[in-house]
Parts: sequence; structure tokens; C-alpha cells
Amino acid sequence: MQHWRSVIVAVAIFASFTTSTLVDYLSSDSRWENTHYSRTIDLQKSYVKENNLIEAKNINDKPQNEYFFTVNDGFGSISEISVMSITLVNPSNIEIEFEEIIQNEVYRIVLPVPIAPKSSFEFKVSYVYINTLQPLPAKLEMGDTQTILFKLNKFAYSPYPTTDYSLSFTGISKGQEMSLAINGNSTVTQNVPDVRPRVEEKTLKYGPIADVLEEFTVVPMGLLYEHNRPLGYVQNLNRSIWIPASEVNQLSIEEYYELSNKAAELTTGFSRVEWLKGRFGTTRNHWALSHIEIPTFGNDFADYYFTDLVGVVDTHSLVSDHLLLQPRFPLFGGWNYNFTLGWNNKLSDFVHKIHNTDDEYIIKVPILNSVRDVTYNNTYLTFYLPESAEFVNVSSPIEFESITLENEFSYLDVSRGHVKVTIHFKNLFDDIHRLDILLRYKYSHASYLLKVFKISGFVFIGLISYYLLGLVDLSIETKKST
Amino acid sequence: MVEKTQLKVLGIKIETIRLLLRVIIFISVAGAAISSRLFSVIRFESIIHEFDPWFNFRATKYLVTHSFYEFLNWFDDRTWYPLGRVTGGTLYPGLMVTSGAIWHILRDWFSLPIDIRNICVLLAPAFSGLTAIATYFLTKEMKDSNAGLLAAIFMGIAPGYISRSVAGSYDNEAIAITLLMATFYFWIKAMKLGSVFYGTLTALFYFYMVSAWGGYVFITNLIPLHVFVLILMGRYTHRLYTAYSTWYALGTLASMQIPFVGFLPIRSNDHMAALGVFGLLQLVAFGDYVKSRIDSKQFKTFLVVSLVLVTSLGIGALFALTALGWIAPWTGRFYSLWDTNYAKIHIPIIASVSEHQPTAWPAFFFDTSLLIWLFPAGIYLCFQELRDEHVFVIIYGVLCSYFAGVMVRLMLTLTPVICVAGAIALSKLFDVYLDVVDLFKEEAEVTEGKEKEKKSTKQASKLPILPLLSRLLVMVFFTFYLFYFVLHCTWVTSSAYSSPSVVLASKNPDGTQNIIDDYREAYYWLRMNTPEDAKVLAWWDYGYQIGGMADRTTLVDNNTWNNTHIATVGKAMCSNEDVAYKILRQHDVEYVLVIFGGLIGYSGDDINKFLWMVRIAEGIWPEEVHERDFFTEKGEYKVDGDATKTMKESLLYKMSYYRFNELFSGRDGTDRVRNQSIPAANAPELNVIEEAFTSSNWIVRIYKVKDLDNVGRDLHQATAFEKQSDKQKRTRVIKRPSLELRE
Repeated sequence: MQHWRSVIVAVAIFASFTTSTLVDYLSSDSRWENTHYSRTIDLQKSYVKENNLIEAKNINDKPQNEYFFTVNDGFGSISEISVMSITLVNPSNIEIEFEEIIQNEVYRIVLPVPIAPKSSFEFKVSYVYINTLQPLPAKLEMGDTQTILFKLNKFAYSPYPTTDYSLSFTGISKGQEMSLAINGNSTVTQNVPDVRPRVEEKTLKYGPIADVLEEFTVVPMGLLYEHNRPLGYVQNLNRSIWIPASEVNQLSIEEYYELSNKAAELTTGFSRVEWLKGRFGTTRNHWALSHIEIPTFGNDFADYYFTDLVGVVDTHSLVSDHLLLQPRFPLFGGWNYNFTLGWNNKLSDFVHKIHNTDDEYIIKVPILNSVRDVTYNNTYLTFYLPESAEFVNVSSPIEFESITLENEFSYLDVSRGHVKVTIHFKNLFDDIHRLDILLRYKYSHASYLLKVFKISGFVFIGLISYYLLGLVDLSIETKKST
Repeated sequence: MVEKTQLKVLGIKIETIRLLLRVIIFISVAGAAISSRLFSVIRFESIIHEFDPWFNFRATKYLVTHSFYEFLNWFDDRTWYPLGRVTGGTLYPGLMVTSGAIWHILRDWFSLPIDIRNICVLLAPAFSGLTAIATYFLTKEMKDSNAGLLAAIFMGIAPGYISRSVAGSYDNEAIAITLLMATFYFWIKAMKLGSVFYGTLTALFYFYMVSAWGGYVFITNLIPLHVFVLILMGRYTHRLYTAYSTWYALGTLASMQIPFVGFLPIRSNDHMAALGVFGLLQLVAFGDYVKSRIDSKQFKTFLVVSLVLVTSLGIGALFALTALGWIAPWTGRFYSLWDTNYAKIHIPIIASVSEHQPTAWPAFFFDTSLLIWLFPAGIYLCFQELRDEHVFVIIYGVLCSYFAGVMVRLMLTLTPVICVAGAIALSKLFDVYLDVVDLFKEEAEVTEGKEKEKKSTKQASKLPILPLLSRLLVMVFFTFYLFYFVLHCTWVTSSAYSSPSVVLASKNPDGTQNIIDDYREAYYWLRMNTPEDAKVLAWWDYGYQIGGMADRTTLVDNNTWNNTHIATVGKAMCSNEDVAYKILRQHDVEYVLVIFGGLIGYSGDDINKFLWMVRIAEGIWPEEVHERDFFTEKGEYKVDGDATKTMKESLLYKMSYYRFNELFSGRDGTDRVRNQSIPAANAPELNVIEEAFTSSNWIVRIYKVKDLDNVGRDLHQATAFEKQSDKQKRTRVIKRPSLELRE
């Protein structure tokens, strides 16, 4: 049996919606009961991946096709939801449409077919939230092990009663629960069943409990777990993709990262002696970010370059299927490192002419590069289409904040400049690199030829005017005729 | 003439072929000049080198991001904290304006938005190609175009010039030498022709030169000296008058438009020679006019009276004006040109710069190879002919030989004249020895009267073997010398002058190159992880680099205009912690940066520069800082166990060796620069500052200045207390029962 060691932690609560306002959104005739609710939280990385497997039973007296899903929070611990997907379990893997009613909080699921009274359906909700993990203590000595405090609602925060509930954590090796005091306008639900955790197959499990949990149960809980890894965080990423105008089979990609580490800070200054003594630079298990790992995933990175604002960085290598970049200095909590990584890909792998069209192309690229275990605040994905190309549309598997269309002058741009399409994403994480974005544009052969003729015309005019200027006689003296 | 132009080879006029060949040679010379300067880019990267170029680069970036007027009015509050620097008014803008203009032209006219850094890096090699062409024209005026071509190739690859113009050494000299050569060429042309046009061109290039480099004073004095010597030689002509008056009037007015120069041309002693010669020339012209009107006896008295009058008046006025403060006395650098010990005694800052040291004689051979012994021969040949323009080369050569002996950096101005003189000598030699036609011509003349059948047989038998052989021998030797020269230049350039000094290269045991990038590592750390307005204290050598790479405010930098401020930094470095802390707090210093090479054996570190800091500080605070205190009783400069108490207590010593011994696991540490062992006992302890960052090879160490203790303790007490509590905490950690663990 485990001992409980509780620490009271005061948590500041950001303005959040209280239960009463939320209820207004729920139409009174939506009545369900969660007959099974199991949460799995993956804490292996620097962000939180949560999977909810829910079986809901229609307890209304008429068929329903609307289900309101609320993120398991209730006291403002989750600030940003990165990506959410909802799928039906049976038939498996059918994505369900949903609508975000309150940002990052409430989603309305519309089922493809209404569910009859007394019958039930099962679905899976997966979502990722970032910016919720913080090291505790916030400052460490270099040799210490980092522990992370993860604040969460211990129970399901659902607008419907739940009869069967379980919670499990994966991806942690050592951890302990802490009770959490909250202030602000959220209220802690009283009279909740007492659940004790246990360890089963490397996961920490709570429940299952068969007691009925009422709607909107809020019991804040802190999970303090050992995570001796950096919490890589990219404030801004500018990922630019240059599509050439000519036939050259080369797609240039350049990325500018503003990287920092949200792990624990150093109590004192950085001591090189201790860093060398502890050999922290050679291990992966330290909370200082000393290597940027980029799995190649078939991308050969044949001609990559790694620079920062003061020049080329020499510490990088391509080891089997990983590109390893070593920043100039290890990043401890709160430290920053801005750098640029660029490489070329084969254009033919990414750009294709659309069937049955003459001048329309489609480009498919991953939204992110595959830097391991980092989260991104702002991602600006920029396509530089050839000069006088025409942007048609873009299709993204995840939502983006905005899209802007500009022109930018670059090498040998003689009319309007490259067409620059910038797509702004927020709150991404490393796994997004699996998702591709598609962009359609028009670029006619004529506009390419026009550009070539324009450039050669300018060169011709230059040479001719040089010749004509040479004909002008500026000498003051009259030439002696021989 | 007419016949010559008719001469044709393969149906093409020989003049056309000559022109074509010349153009090809020019292109090859420029190509050789540029490509040999690219070693550092190929070996390292496109990066700005050394120290001063970082400031120029930063100023250029400011210019291209702001307007030209903003640039001229630029007050830089990021240097010389808390004084700031009126940068726009205290720099030579020529270099920045040149690269700014190139940047704009390429971007706006040619749609080539090239990064300003690459333009700055490649500016010096590009201009070296132009220098070669300017040298060609100058030498052509001295002898002929053959000598000119030789001079061009010499100028293109002579290491003495390459040392200051490799890719990345973005310094004023990079374009100044080109302008120097161009100005001299136009001056010779103007003087020869008496042309106002060429005089104006001289003035124009002189103006460009003034805007680019402080060394313009060299032209300001050399041209008047040339004129003066010509007058003394009785070679006054109206052409000389026209050329000089045009150049002086226009050039002086133009040079006064540069904010940094301002009224110096009429106020500073450095410029008085030019003014004096200008006045003298008017008098000589007047005398010349009088002479043509009156008889010689009267003229003699006129001459004597006016000479005495003018000399006494002139000298008197000079002294009076200097005494009154109207004319600025000569600067320290100028004095140190004449008295090599002057700087050492009076201005340690000037003496502390390595490029202001006297030149060692092997440097002449190293930097110019065979040209150094061809140079006297060329000067001798100039004496033989002694036209007006040869006088110029002689004066230039003699003056610069002296200057180059005094200061290493003036090797740069000597190199062009060595190339010119060497080319004259060598081309003369080639003229004599390559001209085999001569031999046969004599033969032909001798046999002219005789019958033709006989002639052919005779010629065959009387082939001049011995003269031919001797010529062949000389030619073989000189071809070898020229080959060797090219090899030598390439080797010197590649091995000595192509290191950026920001990045160091070392060899791994297996022969691969290992890059030591500590400077940028630490500067980038400062840039990324300190507040944007943090003030960094470091010795002035690193001021420009910190400004350029770390983008942080510095207290002193390589523009050593304020001796006291530098001495303050020196004092902080060489005093004990309490004195230093006071200085640091007074100047809002947040970070202190030191360079320490003891771990990997990098000899250019602060401990080796320490004595200069002490000397400069002692110059201002003679009663607080004593150089003697840093030497042991035997008079040795030691950092090991024998180091003096003052040495061990100085902030710099402590910062350099703080926790150094821990690397040697408790044993005595070894300083690999000074080959002394640092005792493990009594390792330096820091109370008022704490380590903030140390680069991977320990070359750069950065310390953070502690804030005042918030419970009002002395910082020594606070540190001692923390140490104690640290120990307690550690024991507590051990005693704590193991946590609730789950696996």
C-alpha cells in the first residue's frame, strides 16, 4: 500500500468558464450517461497526449445525435489544445465531425446516425495540450534530477454523469500524487469516491471505479513525476519552401527556429566544470537541451546547412537516420537559441502537375520538420511560389490561424517578386510532421518565358547603352587628324 | 607609326592582339588576386575577421537599415557606456558607404538581394583586383606597360598587401590601398601633363581616400614633399603649378566635407606641409614671373630677401598658432613614428597594439619575398633616369621603408612601392636579356655588305652561343625566382593570413581539422541569454566583437579614444574584488568577460595582456596600481604558486583560474600557455561575481556581477554563508527518506 504525501500547492486560475455558463450551451434535451469513461494520459514527451475512450448511453426518451464533449479540465489547467480528433470505435476509425463551441473547452459532436434510446455508442477522443507542464522545483543544480508537476482534473469533466471511470498515466518512471488547492472561482466537487493508484505494466492506474460521478466533477490533482528530459519549445518557427521557376529539380527548404527550453533553470550560473564532470553532454537523460534530434524519415538531408545569427555552426552530424544538431551551448531552462537549418529536396517528390491541366500544380509538404520532442507556439509555413505564379488554394488537415498573400523580391525578380503564401499555425507539436499540407498554384510556361526574356532584355539594354555611351566623344581637345 | 599599325598576324592587327592579350592578362591578374584571398572562405566560412572589421560591419548594417543622414548623425549608446560614442562623426564612412552602395545597386538595379555580410566579406578581394589595375597604370607612367603588367601581378599577390585584404578582413585598408594607387596615378598624370582634368581626378580620389582611411595623411604629405623636392631640384614648371594647385584646392575643400576630418586640414600640424607647399608654390610662381621680367642681379637680392622673410614668417606663424592652440599639435601616433620609444613611455595604449610594434626584419622577406631585394635595384634605376615621376617613387620608397621599419602595419603602404620598383627593375632586366633580336641584328649589320649566300652560312656558324647562354641562364634563374615568388605568396597567404581569428582551427591527431569556436559560442550565449540592455565589461580588444556578435553594450572598445575609461577597466581587472566591485557597480556592469587560453594553450589571452592593463591603469592611478606588484621578487611574471599576492587577488587572475583545478581532479592544474602549474591549494574564490558561462574550451569565461545582498550583508559574508548552507542542504538531501517510487 502506498503512502500519500500531500503537498498543498496554490494554483492561480486563469479566467475560465464556470459550470453555469457552460450549461447554457447544452440544450436540455441532450441527455446521455457515460457508461464507460477511460482516460489515458501519455507523459513521455514535453507535451500531454490524452486519449479518452467513452461509451455513452442514450438515457433520453427519443433518439439523439448530439453529444457534448468537454475537455477534462474544469479549473483552467489546460490553456491550449493543440490538435483534437474524434473517431468512432465501432465501426472503427471513422472520424466524426465536431464543432468547437467554446475554444479549448467544449465540443459538439454530431453523430452520423441518431442513437436510439437505451442503446449506446463508443468513441475515442484524442487531443494534445501544450504549455501545461512545469518543472517543480523551478530551479535545480546541474546534477539534480528534474521533476515535473502536471496539474489535471482527477475525474471526468463531462456534462453527463459517469458510471464507470478509470485514469491511467503512461510514459513516466517515477511519480507521486499531490493534492492541489485551487483558488479562483472554480469549486471543488465534494463527495467523490476515494481512488488509490496502482502500478500495472509500467502505467500508473486509478480505478476503475463503479460509483456514479456527477456532472462536471472537479477534483484538482497534481502529478509530480520524474522527467529528466528537456522541454523543448519553439517560440517562432519560420519554415519557408522555395519553389523554383525553372526546370531545376530542387526544392529548397529553410527553417528559422527560435528555440528555448521550458525545463528547470539553473540555480547558479553555468559551470563548465560541472558540465564536464557530469558528462551531461553525452547523455540524453538530462534536462538541458544539448542536442537537437531530427529523425530523417527518408529525407536524405544531403546538403543541409546549420547556421545561426553569428555564422556557421560546426557541431552537427548525420548519424544513420538522424540529423543531430548541437547548439553552441547546452540550453538550460529559460535559455534561448536561434538557428537556421536549410536543405534541398527533389522537387519531383513534392510538386506535381494536376492531371488534365496545363499550368496547374500541386505541392504536398509536411507541416513541420521532424524535430524530436518539441512544441511550437507560432509556426509560419511560407511558400515562395515562382514570380507571377497564381495561388489557387490550400488544404490543411489541421486548422490554421491565418493565411496571407504577399510578394517578396528575391534573386532576379524583375516584375512583382516571388508570390509568398504564409500560413500561420499555432500550438503545434512534433508529431504534426506526419501531416501534409497541400497547396495548389498556377504557373504558366509563358510567364516563365516572359521572365527569361525580360532578364535577357535588361542585359541587352545594358550592353547596348554601354556601347552607345562609348560612342559619345567627350574630349575637349580636337583630335589631330593624321 | 603607320607601318607598325599595318603589322598583322593571321590577318588581325597586332595592336588588336596586344589589346586582347592585355585584357586577358588583366583578367587573370585580377582573378589570381581575388582567388588567393579566398582561402579563409573556403576553409572556414564567409565570416568577418578579427576585431576592427566587426565594427565596420556593424556600422555598414546600420547604414543599410537607416538613411545616410541618420548614419552620419549616429550616436551609438551601445559602446563606451555610459558615455556613448558619436559614431557618425568619428568614423571614416568611405568603406561603409562603398559596400552600402554596392548592396543597394545590386538589390535595386540588378534584383540581386545579396546579404550585406557577403558583400562586406568579399569587398577586400574585389578591390584588390582594382588595386592591381591601378598599379599597372602607375607603373606604366614610370616605365612602360611591360613593367606595368609585372607590377600588377606583384601587387595582386604580394603577401604584404594580402595580409590586410583577405576575404573577411573588412577594414578601411581594404579599399584604401586601391585609392592610394589611383590617387598617385592621377597625380603623376596631372603633374606630367599639367592637366586640370587629371588634377581634379586626383582631388576626387583623394577625397574618396580621406573618406575611407586615416592614412590619407600619407598622401597629404607625400605629394607636397614631391613638389617641394622638385622645386628644390629647380624643376618648377607651370604644369607642376597647375596640377598641385588644382589638387590642393579641390582636395582640401572636399576632404573637409567628411565630418570626422572637418577643419583638421587647416588646423592640424599633419596637414601644414601641404598648406606650406601650396604657399611656397605661389611664391615660386610669382618669383618665376618676376624672374622673367627683371635681370638676374636684381632677382638675386629679391630672392634672398623674400626667402628669409618667408621662412621666418612661416615658421614663426606655425609656432605662434600652435602655441595659441589654433593648430593642433601632432598626434601620439605621429610622434611614435619618429621616436619608437615615445609610445611606450607616454601612451601605453598605442604601444599595446601589436600592429604598432616595430617590424622584425624577417617580416620584410616574409611579406615581399624576392621583391625586397629587387626594390633597391628599381630605386637605383629610377635614379638613373630621374624624371619627375621617378623622384616620386624614390621619395615614396625612402619614406615608407622607414615607416615600415617603425610600425608593422605600415608594411602595407610600403608594399605598393616595392611592387612598382621591383617591377621596374625586373622589366628592365627582361628588356635587356630577353631581347635576343639585338644579337642577330648586330650580326646582320656586320654581314650586310657581304654576299647573301655567304651570309647564311656565316650566320649559322657564328651563332652567338655564349651571349645566348648567359641570357638563357639569367632568364632561367629569374623564371625560377618568379615561380618561387608565386609559391611563396600562396603559401604565406594560406598559412599566415587566412585565419579569421574569431574561429581557430587545430588539427586532430588523425589530421582532420578541428574548429575551435569558443568566441562565437560565448558571444552568442550573451546575445541569447542576457537582457538586451546588459552591460558587458571586457578588455577593449573584444569591444567590437561583443558589439558585433553579442549585440550588447560594452564599456570600452577598439576605438581607443578615451584613455581614462580604458584605464578604469584595466583597474577593475587588476584590483582586488572590493575595489573592482565598486567600479563594476558604478558602471552598471552586469557581466564581465575574460579570455583565458590556459586550458588549450591559446596564447592571445588576457593573462598575457594583463601587464598592459596594469600599465594603462597605472598611468591614471599611479598611487593605486603598481606594475611592480605583479612581478615576483626575482622580477618574473608568474601565475603559479610563486605569483604575488596582488596578482592572486586581482580580479582577472581569479576569473581566469576560478575552478580551473577541478579539471585536474584535485591535482595541480597546468597552464599550457605559460607552462606553469596552478596550485590546487588556495584556489581562487569569488565573492562579488559568479560564474555565468564558460565556453567549451574555456577560452571565454563570463561572470555575472552579483547584486547587492538583499539583507544588507557584505558580499563576502553572503558567499560564505551560502557555502555553509549549501553543505547543510547536501547532507539533508542524503538524510531524506526515499520518495514514494513507482515503477
